[in-house]
Amino acid sequence: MTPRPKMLPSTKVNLEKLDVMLVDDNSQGLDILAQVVSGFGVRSIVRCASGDEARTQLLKGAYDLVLTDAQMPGLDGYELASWLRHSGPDQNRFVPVLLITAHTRHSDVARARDCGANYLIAKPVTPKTVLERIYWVAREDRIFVESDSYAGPDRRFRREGPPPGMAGRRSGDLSVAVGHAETPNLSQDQIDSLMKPTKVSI
Amino acid sequence: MSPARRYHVPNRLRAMLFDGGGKQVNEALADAEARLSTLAEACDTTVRNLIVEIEAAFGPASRGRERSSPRDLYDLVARIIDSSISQTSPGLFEICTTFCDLLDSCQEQNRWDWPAVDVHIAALRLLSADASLPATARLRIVSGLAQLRRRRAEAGG
Repeated sequence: MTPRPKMLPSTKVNLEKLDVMLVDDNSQGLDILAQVVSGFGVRSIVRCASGDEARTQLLKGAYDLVLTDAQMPGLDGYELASWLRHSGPDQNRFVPVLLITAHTRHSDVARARDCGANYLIAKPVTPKTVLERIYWVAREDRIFVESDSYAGPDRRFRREGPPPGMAGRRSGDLSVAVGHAETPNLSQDQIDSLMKPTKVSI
Repeated sequence: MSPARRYHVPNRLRAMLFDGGGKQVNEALADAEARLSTLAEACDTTVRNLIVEIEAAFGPASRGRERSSPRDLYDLVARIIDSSISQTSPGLFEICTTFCDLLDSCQEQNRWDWPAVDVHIAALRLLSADASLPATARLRIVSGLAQLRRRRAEAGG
Protein backbone atom coordinates (compact mmCIF):
# COMPACT_ATOMS: atom_id res chain seq x y z
CA MET A 1 0.00 0.00 0.00
CA THR A 2 1.43 3.38 -0.93
CA PRO A 3 1.77 5.96 1.84
CA ARG A 4 -0.54 8.95 1.61
CA PRO A 5 0.90 12.31 0.63
CA LYS A 6 1.89 14.33 3.65
CA MET A 7 -0.01 17.52 4.47
CA LEU A 8 2.51 20.28 3.84
CA PRO A 9 2.15 23.97 4.75
CA SER A 10 1.94 24.77 1.05
CA THR A 11 -0.67 22.10 0.29
CA LYS A 12 -3.88 23.66 -0.99
CA VAL A 13 -7.17 22.59 0.56
CA ASN A 14 -10.60 23.83 -0.36
CA LEU A 15 -13.23 23.54 2.34
CA GLU A 16 -15.39 26.39 1.05
CA LYS A 17 -18.05 24.21 -0.51
CA LEU A 18 -18.33 21.68 2.29
CA ASP A 19 -21.55 21.27 4.21
CA VAL A 20 -20.35 20.61 7.74
CA MET A 21 -22.34 19.53 10.76
CA LEU A 22 -21.06 20.28 14.26
CA VAL A 23 -22.61 18.52 17.26
CA ASP A 24 -21.90 19.33 20.89
CA ASP A 25 -24.14 19.81 23.89
CA ASN A 26 -21.70 22.39 25.24
CA SER A 27 -22.29 25.72 23.47
CA GLN A 28 -18.70 26.82 24.03
CA GLY A 29 -17.54 23.56 22.48
CA LEU A 30 -19.70 24.36 19.46
CA ASP A 31 -18.23 27.87 19.27
CA ILE A 32 -14.70 26.45 19.32
CA LEU A 33 -15.41 23.99 16.51
CA ALA A 34 -17.26 26.62 14.49
CA GLN A 35 -14.36 29.08 14.72
CA VAL A 36 -11.88 26.41 13.68
CA VAL A 37 -13.76 25.21 10.60
CA SER A 38 -14.71 28.79 9.63
CA GLY A 39 -11.02 29.61 9.71
CA PHE A 40 -10.43 26.76 7.28
CA GLY A 41 -12.88 28.45 4.93
CA VAL A 42 -16.04 26.44 5.56
CA ARG A 43 -19.12 28.56 4.84
CA SER A 44 -21.98 26.17 5.42
CA ILE A 45 -22.08 25.08 9.05
CA VAL A 46 -25.03 23.51 10.83
CA ARG A 47 -24.71 23.56 14.63
CA CYS A 48 -26.60 20.98 16.65
CA ALA A 49 -26.82 21.03 20.44
CA SER A 50 -27.66 17.34 20.79
CA GLY A 51 -27.37 14.02 19.05
CA ASP A 52 -31.13 13.94 18.58
CA GLU A 53 -31.11 17.31 16.84
CA ALA A 54 -28.26 16.11 14.62
CA ARG A 55 -30.21 13.00 13.65
CA THR A 56 -33.18 15.14 12.64
CA GLN A 57 -30.95 17.36 10.49
CA LEU A 58 -29.17 14.39 8.92
CA LEU A 59 -32.52 13.07 7.75
CA LYS A 60 -33.23 16.37 6.00
CA GLY A 61 -30.06 17.26 4.06
CA ALA A 62 -26.73 15.94 2.80
CA TYR A 63 -23.47 16.68 4.61
CA ASP A 64 -19.84 16.25 3.67
CA LEU A 65 -18.40 16.04 7.17
CA VAL A 66 -19.74 15.55 10.70
CA LEU A 67 -17.74 16.62 13.75
CA THR A 68 -19.42 15.41 16.88
CA ASP A 69 -18.67 15.37 20.56
CA ALA A 70 -18.61 11.81 21.84
CA GLN A 71 -20.20 12.26 25.26
CA MET A 72 -23.57 13.94 25.27
CA PRO A 73 -26.79 13.37 27.18
CA GLY A 74 -29.43 11.50 25.19
CA LEU A 75 -28.14 10.24 21.86
CA ASP A 76 -24.37 10.51 22.21
CA GLY A 77 -21.71 10.75 19.50
CA TYR A 78 -21.05 7.01 19.41
CA GLU A 79 -24.73 6.22 19.00
CA LEU A 80 -25.14 8.94 16.37
CA ALA A 81 -22.30 7.47 14.29
CA SER A 82 -23.64 3.96 14.72
CA TRP A 83 -27.15 5.03 13.73
CA LEU A 84 -25.78 6.76 10.62
CA ARG A 85 -23.83 3.69 9.50
CA HIS A 86 -26.56 1.17 10.17
CA SER A 87 -29.75 3.01 9.31
CA GLY A 88 -28.89 6.56 8.30
CA PRO A 89 -30.39 8.11 5.18
CA ASP A 90 -28.65 7.22 1.90
CA GLN A 91 -27.26 10.72 1.39
CA ASN A 92 -25.34 10.62 4.69
CA ARG A 93 -24.69 6.97 5.40
CA PHE A 94 -21.03 7.13 4.39
CA VAL A 95 -20.32 10.70 5.47
CA PRO A 96 -16.98 11.01 7.31
CA VAL A 97 -17.58 11.25 11.05
CA LEU A 98 -14.92 12.61 13.38
CA LEU A 99 -15.66 11.94 17.03
CA ILE A 100 -14.25 14.42 19.50
CA THR A 101 -13.77 13.55 23.13
CA ALA A 102 -12.32 15.18 26.22
CA HIS A 103 -11.66 11.80 27.78
CA THR A 104 -12.60 8.29 26.78
CA ARG A 105 -14.11 6.35 29.64
CA HIS A 106 -12.95 2.79 30.07
CA SER A 107 -16.44 1.56 29.29
CA ASP A 108 -16.51 3.60 26.06
CA VAL A 109 -13.33 2.26 24.46
CA ALA A 110 -15.13 -0.59 22.69
CA ARG A 111 -17.99 1.74 21.67
CA ALA A 112 -15.49 4.15 20.14
CA ARG A 113 -13.95 1.29 18.17
CA ASP A 114 -17.25 -0.19 17.05
CA CYS A 115 -19.44 2.82 16.27
CA GLY A 116 -18.25 3.29 12.70
CA ALA A 117 -16.66 6.73 13.06
CA ASN A 118 -13.67 7.50 10.86
CA TYR A 119 -11.46 8.94 13.55
CA LEU A 120 -11.39 9.93 17.20
CA ILE A 121 -9.95 13.34 18.09
CA ALA A 122 -8.84 14.11 21.64
CA LYS A 123 -9.66 17.52 23.09
CA PRO A 124 -8.52 20.18 23.61
CA VAL A 125 -9.26 20.94 19.98
CA THR A 126 -6.47 22.53 17.97
CA PRO A 127 -6.79 23.68 14.35
CA LYS A 128 -3.76 21.61 13.36
CA THR A 129 -5.21 18.37 14.72
CA VAL A 130 -8.62 18.96 13.15
CA LEU A 131 -7.22 19.85 9.73
CA GLU A 132 -4.82 16.89 9.80
CA ARG A 133 -7.70 14.54 10.51
CA ILE A 134 -9.91 16.07 7.82
CA TYR A 135 -7.02 15.79 5.36
CA TRP A 136 -6.36 12.22 6.43
CA VAL A 137 -10.00 11.18 6.07
CA ALA A 138 -10.20 12.87 2.66
CA ARG A 139 -7.13 11.00 1.41
CA GLU A 140 -7.99 7.63 2.87
CA ASP A 141 -9.29 4.85 0.73
CA ARG A 142 -10.65 2.48 3.31
CA ILE A 143 -13.11 -0.19 2.36
CA PHE A 144 -16.54 0.16 3.93
CA VAL A 145 -17.48 -2.92 5.94
CA GLU A 146 -21.03 -3.90 6.69
CA SER A 147 -21.93 -6.80 8.95
CA ASP A 148 -24.48 -7.63 11.62
CA SER A 149 -22.27 -6.24 14.35
CA TYR A 150 -20.38 -3.43 12.59
CA ALA A 151 -20.88 -0.94 9.79
CA GLY A 152 -18.23 1.62 8.92
CA PRO A 153 -14.74 2.09 7.55
CA ASP A 154 -12.50 -0.97 7.85
CA ARG A 155 -10.88 -0.77 11.27
CA ARG A 156 -7.89 -2.89 10.32
CA PHE A 157 -5.53 -0.28 8.98
CA ARG A 158 -2.76 -0.23 11.54
CA ARG A 159 -0.24 -1.72 9.16
CA GLU A 160 -0.19 1.61 7.42
CA GLY A 161 1.08 3.30 10.54
CA PRO A 162 -0.08 6.67 11.83
CA PRO A 163 -1.20 9.48 9.52
CA PRO A 164 1.68 11.08 7.61
CA GLY A 165 3.66 13.55 9.65
CA MET A 166 2.68 12.02 12.98
CA ALA A 167 4.96 10.15 15.32
CA GLY A 168 2.22 7.73 16.37
CA ARG A 169 1.08 7.04 19.89
CA ARG A 170 0.28 3.35 19.93
CA SER A 171 2.90 0.76 20.72
CA GLY A 172 1.64 -1.35 17.81
CA ASP A 173 1.94 1.39 15.18
CA LEU A 174 4.20 0.29 12.38
CA SER A 175 6.36 2.55 10.30
CA VAL A 176 5.34 3.01 6.68
CA ALA A 177 8.93 2.33 5.65
CA VAL A 178 10.15 -1.23 6.05
CA GLY A 179 13.82 -0.22 6.14
CA HIS A 180 16.88 -2.44 6.11
CA ALA A 181 17.43 -5.38 8.42
CA GLU A 182 19.40 -4.30 11.47
CA THR A 183 20.73 -7.74 12.40
CA PRO A 184 22.01 -10.57 10.22
CA ASN A 185 19.58 -13.31 9.25
CA LEU A 186 19.54 -16.41 11.46
CA SER A 187 21.51 -19.36 10.12
CA GLN A 188 19.74 -22.68 9.54
CA ASP A 189 21.49 -24.08 12.63
CA GLN A 190 20.16 -21.26 14.76
CA ILE A 191 16.65 -21.78 13.43
CA ASP A 192 16.92 -25.55 14.08
CA SER A 193 18.15 -24.95 17.62
CA LEU A 194 15.08 -22.83 18.34
CA MET A 195 12.91 -25.84 17.57
CA LYS A 196 15.08 -28.50 19.23
CA PRO A 197 13.48 -30.12 22.28
CA THR A 198 15.47 -29.48 25.43
CA LYS A 199 15.48 -31.25 28.74
CA VAL A 200 14.01 -29.28 31.57
CA SER A 201 14.44 -30.22 35.20
CA ILE A 202 11.43 -29.49 37.36
CA MET B 1 -25.49 -14.44 10.86
CA SER B 2 -25.10 -12.92 7.39
CA PRO B 3 -21.62 -12.61 5.84
CA ALA B 4 -19.84 -9.24 5.99
CA ARG B 5 -20.03 -7.09 2.87
CA ARG B 6 -17.01 -5.03 1.85
CA TYR B 7 -17.19 -2.27 -0.72
CA HIS B 8 -15.79 1.10 -1.77
CA VAL B 9 -17.85 4.18 -1.10
CA PRO B 10 -17.60 7.52 -2.91
CA ASN B 11 -15.42 10.04 -1.08
CA ARG B 12 -17.17 13.40 -1.61
CA LEU B 13 -14.83 15.05 0.85
CA ARG B 14 -11.79 14.23 -1.27
CA ALA B 15 -13.38 15.53 -4.45
CA MET B 16 -14.12 18.89 -2.84
CA LEU B 17 -11.00 19.31 -0.74
CA PHE B 18 -8.58 18.91 -3.60
CA ASP B 19 -10.38 20.72 -6.42
CA GLY B 20 -7.54 23.21 -6.77
CA GLY B 21 -9.08 26.23 -5.05
CA GLY B 22 -9.15 27.25 -1.42
CA LYS B 23 -6.27 28.10 0.90
CA GLN B 24 -2.83 26.84 1.63
CA VAL B 25 -2.65 24.76 4.79
CA ASN B 26 -0.52 27.30 6.67
CA GLU B 27 -2.98 30.06 5.78
CA ALA B 28 -5.99 27.95 6.85
CA LEU B 29 -4.31 27.13 10.16
CA ALA B 30 -3.38 30.77 10.82
CA ASP B 31 -6.95 31.89 10.08
CA ALA B 32 -8.38 29.23 12.38
CA GLU B 33 -5.93 30.13 15.18
CA ALA B 34 -6.86 33.80 14.82
CA ARG B 35 -10.57 33.01 15.06
CA LEU B 36 -9.99 30.66 17.98
CA SER B 37 -8.05 33.32 19.88
CA THR B 38 -11.22 35.44 20.04
CA LEU B 39 -12.63 32.77 22.38
CA ALA B 40 -9.55 32.45 24.60
CA GLU B 41 -10.69 34.89 27.27
CA ALA B 42 -14.17 33.38 27.52
CA CYS B 43 -12.68 29.89 27.72
CA ASP B 44 -10.24 30.92 30.47
CA THR B 45 -13.16 32.37 32.44
CA THR B 46 -15.11 29.14 31.99
CA VAL B 47 -12.15 27.11 33.26
CA ARG B 48 -11.74 29.34 36.32
CA ASN B 49 -15.47 29.16 37.09
CA LEU B 50 -15.48 25.38 36.73
CA ILE B 51 -12.60 25.04 39.20
CA VAL B 52 -14.47 27.22 41.70
CA GLU B 53 -17.60 25.12 41.16
CA ILE B 54 -15.63 21.88 41.62
CA GLU B 55 -14.02 23.11 44.80
CA ALA B 56 -17.36 24.28 46.22
CA ALA B 57 -19.21 21.07 45.44
CA PHE B 58 -16.45 18.48 45.85
CA GLY B 59 -13.64 20.11 47.83
CA PRO B 60 -12.69 18.91 51.33
CA ALA B 61 -14.81 21.65 52.92
CA SER B 62 -17.96 20.91 50.96
CA ARG B 63 -20.83 19.27 52.81
CA GLY B 64 -22.54 16.16 51.54
CA ARG B 65 -20.11 15.59 48.70
CA GLU B 66 -20.15 11.83 49.32
CA ARG B 67 -23.79 11.78 48.26
CA SER B 68 -22.80 12.83 44.74
CA SER B 69 -21.77 10.45 42.00
CA PRO B 70 -18.18 10.45 40.64
CA ARG B 71 -19.85 10.95 37.27
CA ASP B 72 -21.04 14.42 38.33
CA LEU B 73 -17.49 15.50 39.07
CA TYR B 74 -16.22 13.73 35.94
CA ASP B 75 -18.54 15.84 33.79
CA LEU B 76 -17.24 19.07 35.34
CA VAL B 77 -13.59 18.07 34.87
CA ALA B 78 -14.25 17.00 31.28
CA ARG B 79 -15.73 20.45 30.63
CA ILE B 80 -12.42 21.99 31.70
CA ILE B 81 -10.73 19.94 28.98
CA ASP B 82 -13.42 21.11 26.52
CA SER B 83 -12.49 24.72 27.19
CA SER B 84 -8.70 24.41 27.56
CA ILE B 85 -7.86 26.04 24.26
CA SER B 86 -5.30 28.51 25.56
CA GLN B 87 -2.14 27.53 27.34
CA THR B 88 -2.32 30.12 30.09
CA SER B 89 -2.05 27.38 32.73
CA PRO B 90 0.34 24.71 31.41
CA GLY B 91 -0.25 21.32 32.99
CA LEU B 92 -3.93 21.94 33.69
CA PHE B 93 -5.09 19.76 30.82
CA GLU B 94 -2.80 16.89 31.88
CA ILE B 95 -4.14 17.05 35.43
CA CYS B 96 -7.71 16.96 34.14
CA THR B 97 -6.89 13.84 32.13
CA THR B 98 -5.54 11.95 35.16
CA PHE B 99 -8.47 13.30 37.19
CA CYS B 100 -10.95 11.90 34.63
CA ASP B 101 -9.14 8.54 34.75
CA LEU B 102 -9.46 8.54 38.53
CA LEU B 103 -13.16 9.46 38.49
CA ASP B 104 -13.91 6.94 35.77
CA SER B 105 -12.39 4.23 37.93
CA CYS B 106 -14.28 5.51 41.01
CA GLN B 107 -17.50 5.36 38.98
CA GLU B 108 -16.78 1.80 37.83
CA GLN B 109 -16.05 0.67 41.39
CA ASN B 110 -18.87 2.74 42.81
CA ARG B 111 -16.49 4.01 45.48
CA TRP B 112 -14.92 7.43 46.02
CA ASP B 113 -11.20 7.79 46.66
CA TRP B 114 -11.34 11.11 48.52
CA PRO B 115 -7.60 11.53 49.24
CA ALA B 116 -6.89 11.17 45.51
CA VAL B 117 -9.78 13.50 44.61
CA ASP B 118 -8.56 16.11 47.09
CA VAL B 119 -5.02 16.09 45.76
CA HIS B 120 -6.30 16.59 42.19
CA ILE B 121 -8.54 19.48 43.25
CA ALA B 122 -5.62 21.08 45.09
CA ALA B 123 -3.46 20.69 41.98
CA LEU B 124 -6.12 22.28 39.77
CA ARG B 125 -6.41 25.22 42.16
CA LEU B 126 -2.67 25.69 42.39
CA LEU B 127 -1.99 25.56 38.68
CA SER B 128 -4.85 27.84 37.72
CA ALA B 129 -4.31 30.39 40.47
CA ASP B 130 -0.56 30.87 40.31
CA ALA B 131 0.51 31.94 36.83
CA SER B 132 4.05 32.49 38.09
CA LEU B 133 4.50 28.85 39.08
CA PRO B 134 7.68 27.70 37.31
CA ALA B 135 7.48 25.06 34.61
CA THR B 136 9.55 22.60 36.67
CA ALA B 137 7.09 22.82 39.56
CA ARG B 138 4.16 22.29 37.20
CA LEU B 139 5.89 19.29 35.70
CA ARG B 140 6.51 17.82 39.16
CA ILE B 141 2.82 18.12 40.02
CA VAL B 142 1.73 16.53 36.74
CA SER B 143 4.31 13.70 37.15
CA GLY B 144 3.22 13.10 40.74
CA LEU B 145 -0.41 12.70 39.73
CA ALA B 146 0.53 10.44 36.82
CA GLN B 147 2.47 8.31 39.31
CA LEU B 148 -0.58 8.18 41.56
CA ARG B 149 -2.65 6.98 38.60
CA ARG B 150 -0.12 4.23 37.81
CA ARG B 151 -0.08 3.05 41.42
CA ARG B 152 -3.85 2.93 41.58
CA ALA B 153 -3.96 0.99 38.30
CA GLU B 154 -1.35 -1.49 39.59
CA ALA B 155 -3.37 -1.92 42.77
CA GLY B 156 -6.46 -2.61 40.66
CA GLY B 157 -8.01 0.79 41.29
